[in-house]
Amino acid sequence: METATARPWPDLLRAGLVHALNLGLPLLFVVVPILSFVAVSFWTLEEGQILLIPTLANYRAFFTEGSYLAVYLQTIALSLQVTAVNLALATAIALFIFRRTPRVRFLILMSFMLPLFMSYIIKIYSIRSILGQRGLLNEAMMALGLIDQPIEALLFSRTAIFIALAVLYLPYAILPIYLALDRIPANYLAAAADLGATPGQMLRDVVLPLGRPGMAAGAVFTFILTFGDFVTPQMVGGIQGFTFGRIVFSQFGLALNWPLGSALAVILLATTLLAVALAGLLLRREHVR
Amino acid sequence: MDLMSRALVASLTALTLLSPAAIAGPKGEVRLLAYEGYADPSWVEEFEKQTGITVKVTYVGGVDEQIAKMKASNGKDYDVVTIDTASLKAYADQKLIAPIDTAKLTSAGNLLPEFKDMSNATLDGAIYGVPWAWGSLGMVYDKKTFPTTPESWEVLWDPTYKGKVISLDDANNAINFGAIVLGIKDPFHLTDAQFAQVKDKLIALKRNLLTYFAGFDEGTTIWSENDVVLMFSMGELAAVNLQKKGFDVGYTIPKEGAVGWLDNLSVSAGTPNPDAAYAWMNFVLQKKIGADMAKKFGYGSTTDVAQGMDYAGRLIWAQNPEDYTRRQAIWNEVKAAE
Repeated sequence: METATARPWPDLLRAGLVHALNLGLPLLFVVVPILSFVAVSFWTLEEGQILLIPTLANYRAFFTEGSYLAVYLQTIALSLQVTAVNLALATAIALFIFRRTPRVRFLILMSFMLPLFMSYIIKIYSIRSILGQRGLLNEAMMALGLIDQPIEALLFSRTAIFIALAVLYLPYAILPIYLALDRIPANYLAAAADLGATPGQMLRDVVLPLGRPGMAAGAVFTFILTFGDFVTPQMVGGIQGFTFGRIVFSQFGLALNWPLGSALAVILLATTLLAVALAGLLLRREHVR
Repeated sequence: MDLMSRALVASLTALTLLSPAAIAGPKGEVRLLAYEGYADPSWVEEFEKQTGITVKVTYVGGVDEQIAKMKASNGKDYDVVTIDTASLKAYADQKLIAPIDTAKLTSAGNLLPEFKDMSNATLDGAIYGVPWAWGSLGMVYDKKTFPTTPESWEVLWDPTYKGKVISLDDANNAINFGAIVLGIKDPFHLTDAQFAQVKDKLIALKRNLLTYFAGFDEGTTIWSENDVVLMFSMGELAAVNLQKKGFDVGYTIPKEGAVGWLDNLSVSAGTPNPDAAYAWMNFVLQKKIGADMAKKFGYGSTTDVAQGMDYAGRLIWAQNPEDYTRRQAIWNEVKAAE
């Protein structure tokens, strides 16, 4: 009866400490930094100095000045395209892995995850040296006599951005989709087969619907990572490599326009949150039905 | 591998944490924030042996990246930082660097006469940097394509070379460059009309480009992996690097002129160990180090007369521009243009 109040002090202290850490660390390292740039986004920049005068000018600039809005929309379009392609690719790969025997599954899965152990920059440089005019692909095709002149448009083009982003972020889509498929109880599939479902029906009516949460997660990961990437497009996209992340980044250099940079970062964050919310909403509706 | 890792550090330190954790020597450590070629391993070795101070170098690829790094810790992460004359004011205004204590600068006497008064680095009576290296933002050209040296920057706009030109991605210098090509007298203080002209000129250049690049190594890497014949470069080092790789390239300052830069050694306002900072500065301001730098990297030295660098008179020394924020906004417009 008195258990709650009679707990010895050290125990309470320890419990308190654990809770404080549980709440405090994320608060300190995630929430506080985010709130701080949200706050900066309402400050004023005047003659190169950041003043603590609240303003909406930075948000207004996004909608009215220059090409912020246009670049934002272009970047969303690019991210959506990469997401769509990667969702299809990752689903196919995850299904392929799912159909192997358990022992082989792990090996194949690990081989697809291997790029995640490599530095992001090394991967971009590799992609560049493959796609370049004197790159591996062009040299190989010329050596094989497939082409006489190097294909110039491979690197430093929208295609290159597309390929690079898709390659870089594919593992982030495969993993959640595969994990969702992996959780499908074997007896569901057995039951479907017993009831006479063809492999195609099984895929359409059992496997894919149950894999949907993973597909949603994979799509959200891909979209967020692609949308925020300010390095890959710049490095492989040539004169078309200007994306929204790059605009945000550019405000923190000599321009020292932290308020505008923060406002644009808040918009970026809001967009990604919206993507997460949208995915969640779609999944919930799925459940209700 | 060395080249690779350097390229990575130089162009993308914002994303990577590649710098190894240095172990401080008996006399502490000096942390440099520098451009490539400013802390040659042979100097570092000699300095460490001589002083017992460990050197830790962080390379940056551009001015923007450097000020972001300094600002992130208010200078506490670095002791000595190399800053070009044009940006000194921004650093001083933000209180990221401290005035030079001339009493501690024992090697100031080594400076060449034209750099001795440090007038380029003096703001409101206080000296904020010691001249250390200079150079230009000239043109690199492929000698096979151009048996005679191109005379004018306009060749970069020539559609004959469409897709074979690369250009430096740096808001401030790109706008200086555009203004110089247009023959604008003071490229550092542009009027609204001049800004509009420069923007159009740079958008026209963009249509002739293969890509932009940032950092010396990125420029060289792109040149060597693609069919590039012209570059609005970051400096002499671009040509030196390409020649080392076996490319037959030349470096020139066309008739319109080019931006010249002068990098200064400054002491970070956040340094806990100013003595180590001055020890490094005094060490590198020796004539022999200056000569070695000029030989290895093609920079002009402030302590030794650089050989073959006879064009200093045609350079337009960089000044603090009228409005960085505005230049960045215009540069973003150029990059967003179709």
